[in-house]
Amino acid sequence: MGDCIQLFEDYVNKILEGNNIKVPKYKIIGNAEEAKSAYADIGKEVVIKPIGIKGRGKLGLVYTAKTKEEAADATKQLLDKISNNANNAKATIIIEEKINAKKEFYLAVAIDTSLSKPFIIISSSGGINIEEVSANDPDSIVRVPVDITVGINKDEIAKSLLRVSAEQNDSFLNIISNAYSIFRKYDAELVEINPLILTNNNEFVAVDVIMNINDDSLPRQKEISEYIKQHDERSAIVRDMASMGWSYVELDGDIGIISSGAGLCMSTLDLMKLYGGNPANFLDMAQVDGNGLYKALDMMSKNQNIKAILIHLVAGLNDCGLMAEGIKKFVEERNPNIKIVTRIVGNNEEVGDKVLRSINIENIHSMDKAVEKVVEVSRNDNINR
Amino acid sequence: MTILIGKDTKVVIQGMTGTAGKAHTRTMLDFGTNIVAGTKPNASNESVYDIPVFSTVKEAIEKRGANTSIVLVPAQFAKNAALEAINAGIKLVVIAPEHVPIQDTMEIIENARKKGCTIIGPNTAGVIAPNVKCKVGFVPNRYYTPGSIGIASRSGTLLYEFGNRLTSEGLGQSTCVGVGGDSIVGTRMADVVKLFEEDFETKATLLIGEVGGTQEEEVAELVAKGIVRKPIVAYLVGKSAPKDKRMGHAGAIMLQGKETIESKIRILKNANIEVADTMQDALKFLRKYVNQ
Repeated sequence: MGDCIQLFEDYVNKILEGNNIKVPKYKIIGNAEEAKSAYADIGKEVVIKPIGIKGRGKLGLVYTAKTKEEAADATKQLLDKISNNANNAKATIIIEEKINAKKEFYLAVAIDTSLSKPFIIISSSGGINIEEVSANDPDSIVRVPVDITVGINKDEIAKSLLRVSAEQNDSFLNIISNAYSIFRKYDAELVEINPLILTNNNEFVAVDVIMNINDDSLPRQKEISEYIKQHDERSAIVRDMASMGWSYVELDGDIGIISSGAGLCMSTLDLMKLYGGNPANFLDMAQVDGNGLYKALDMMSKNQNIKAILIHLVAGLNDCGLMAEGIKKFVEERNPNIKIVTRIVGNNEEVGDKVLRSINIENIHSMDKAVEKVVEVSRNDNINR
Repeated sequence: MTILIGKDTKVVIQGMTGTAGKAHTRTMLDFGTNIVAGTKPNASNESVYDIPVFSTVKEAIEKRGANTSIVLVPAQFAKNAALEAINAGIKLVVIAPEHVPIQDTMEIIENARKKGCTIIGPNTAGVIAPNVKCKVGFVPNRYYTPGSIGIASRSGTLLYEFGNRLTSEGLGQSTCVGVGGDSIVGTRMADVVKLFEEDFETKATLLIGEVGGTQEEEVAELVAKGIVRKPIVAYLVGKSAPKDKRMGHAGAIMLQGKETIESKIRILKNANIEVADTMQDALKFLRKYVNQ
């Protein structure tokens, strides 16, 4: 299943500007000096914040400044805070014009997965408390489904708009229409503008925008693919796994799991936890062959935390014998000191059993027993150390 | 009787001549599926296992009476293939590939709604009905045997795993449906459960669910309202899965606190659906209903 990728806001700003939605004046800055000159360009009151750090407001990482000295000072403080936290070492800082609001709205183009339709969501109560608003006063939020084969129905949305807003509805309608175009053009799963500010000059400005892209669309979204390549902050192992087309999530345990199919992999994790084991990862290899298994073992053996590996595969069309050959090759070439437990069943499993036996692995046909075994092996290993 | 597929199913395989297309065609034929045609772009007098390959689905319908299709083309081409089948008048389209862009899926589903076509998938291992020896998909044949348990699964590999376990313990199946692993699918678990309710061969349903989405909750609602009365056993995975990426606030606004694994289990149990902690428990629960 596809994952969604959240784009950084400087890039989102560019997309919005290019599609006729106004955003605050902004600049990317690297130090306090740059903050001063950026302040001169942007002027009066500015907001300084790091890009790509979740919950930055609550972490106290969003500053405002009214002079260039304040801007420089805030930038310095922000950089200090960031460099004190190794996780955020690469954060980029954005400085933008503070927009004063006559009114704050919420606008999103999202997907309702239960109805399989895009939805326009509009509320007159924009801002950080929108989730509470939705829980406490659901009527203040308007949701309009969209027939994706037709596009948005402006008349229908105009009627719905009357429930949340009484002014500037023509330009509001244009913003909605542009947001939907962006959603379609970039294969987004979400375009969320919160708040969408109506200024005292009766202009709409998109102040904080979240845009998530469906990664299954990347083969045709060349520009975004390129952007993602340049902003890839994943660890080497995660990147290597992804480059193979595998779905990999690192966890904090000590038992590596090599599996195929998200369902089988998740059920393996669940059972492992039930038996008291600690999974080190989730790995769904999708299509598996011997070569792929060799590579997966190679990548996984670089994780120092792993004490045992469970290879759990149910072969539908692929061949247990060929998969076992990949394991054999790895074991013979590397002589790893990680214990390997296997449950490889399905097509040609008798041949797989034989190949594994030749490297002293007794392939376990029962899932429950295989998981129990790998948990036991990982524990014994703990005692030995 | 079976659901979705049956004795009258005549299959056209879209993308029959590719490696996967050929291999899947073989196992479907071996199981007994009536495959009447295949398609590929610019076909000229070709055949696979003596089955004619045409350039269009329309020809497969006109010349061979196809009424069901399975899409075995790469994900990026799945939308065009599915729309071709829908527009040609196919009534059931199984979309196998994983990684179909989500907006393509929405387009496929919306078009199918307008034409009265049923979509299974995307990202599905397909549908198998052992009682009539019909398979439109690629689950391993030997894991399934005739019987009275219906399965609706979001996971392909767990559909294999459960088929294997049920069959080796003598618990046969009526129809097994892989609804697909994507967040948006054409036929949802609730749709499948409703079909099983009308199917006299099905005595109980096994629901193989996952963290995320609201499909399991929809089934619980059908049971709570008394629309579905046949017994359902649920097995859910993802108890230890890392939390899904949150989709901004919009996700929360639309879901209102649903779709965590804990809430799913609670909602199913409140509807008196048995939720099995392990696969073995699921088999134990199911045995009660089919051995009556």
